[in-house]
Amino acid sequence: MKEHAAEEAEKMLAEHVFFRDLDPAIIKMLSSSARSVSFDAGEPIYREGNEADRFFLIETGRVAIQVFVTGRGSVTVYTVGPGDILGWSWFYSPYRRRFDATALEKTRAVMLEGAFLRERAEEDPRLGYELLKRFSLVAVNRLQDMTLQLLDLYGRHL
Amino acid sequence: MPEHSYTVMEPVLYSIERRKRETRDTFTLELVREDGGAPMRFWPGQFNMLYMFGVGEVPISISGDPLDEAKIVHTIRSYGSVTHKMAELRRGDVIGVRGPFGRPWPLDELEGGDVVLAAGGIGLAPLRPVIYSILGRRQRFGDIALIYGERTPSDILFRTLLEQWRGRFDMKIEVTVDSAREGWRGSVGVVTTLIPGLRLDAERTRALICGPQIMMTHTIRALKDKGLTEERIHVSTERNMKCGEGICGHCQLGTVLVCRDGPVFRLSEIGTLLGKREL
Repeated sequence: MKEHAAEEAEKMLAEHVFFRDLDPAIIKMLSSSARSVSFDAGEPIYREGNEADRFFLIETGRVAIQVFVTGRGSVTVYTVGPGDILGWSWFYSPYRRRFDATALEKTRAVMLEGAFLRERAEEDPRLGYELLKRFSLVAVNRLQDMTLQLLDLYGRHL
Repeated sequence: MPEHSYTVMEPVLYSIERRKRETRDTFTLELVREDGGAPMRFWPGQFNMLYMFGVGEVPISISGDPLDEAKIVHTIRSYGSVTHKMAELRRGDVIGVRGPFGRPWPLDELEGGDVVLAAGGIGLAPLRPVIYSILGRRQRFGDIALIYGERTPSDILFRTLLEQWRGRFDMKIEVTVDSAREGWRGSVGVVTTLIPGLRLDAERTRALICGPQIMMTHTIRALKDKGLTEERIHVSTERNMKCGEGICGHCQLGTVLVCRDGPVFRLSEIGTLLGKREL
């Protein structure tokens, strides 16, 4: 992982679709913990069981969310790309990664400190509720996508 | 649309000039007329009834280039008894063909604007003639994007062609699969996950969708989230077509007969019918 200048992170954060229409004061607060980072193709970003203390807003590139299956290796169950969020385990106890994440191609992202945000959210229910709404929507959409994946849509139904 | 110059209920004999295996359960047949005549002309989105004598008849969309005056091309996924038998066809074998039937994609309406083609599974086959048509007069269109979802990487249709098109750099192509073994470097997830990443100008974009009904339902929802109206979304519906001429009623979908009134519809025409459980 390479880190880039702090001002890049603030700019990327303000423009990222996930934080669209968020109170500028909250954006400014978030920016204080944000860093712009990049990963090379094939680089692991985190592993299942790791402490979940940060998350990423993908700007460019693509990341595979994977499960390691003995005998089959790393199985990709989902990919995220520009505009997507990577990692939500920092928001929910026990704050441990549930999947592996590996950059499939050169990827740039904004990295935010989850523990810092949790503390701010505990102090400020308005911020906490706003984050909960946004992360819950991500979770609901992922759940729906994965439900459709399980249906074997392109099988004998057409 | 071309005039019918034959008796629509009487199959015309075509022989298999070439058979190409696309995937483990999908194959393409290139057909020429048995009597040496020119094959029928068609519009992208139309379908033919293909007759395996002694076995049965199935509706299959035309997947070839509309400007190809030598042969007619069908890409078929082996699903049922007739298509299973068709999978055994070899060069020189003869089948019956009735068609072309149905209302095509609205190519004239696409000119001057951007186009998104969303395909799921074998739904890519009826969209391929649209892509041939667009690329044949590329300068008349704005941005073109094809998003395509399949079960696994080995189920991906027209793989070589997709690579060729991607290499043109005047067309965006995104492919995603539902599941992949180690080694797949592309996207994993349903086709709708590709839509938020598209830069769409809802005022100048039209979307053409073909795939399983549930895939179309979710794709429509995602496109509406991007601002596309039902006037700008076109879908190709699949029903069990039999006669092809709106006579038998086999393919009735509410108030429409898919073989005659479709298979391509503007969403605003059938919005309430699509996905209705009772239908």
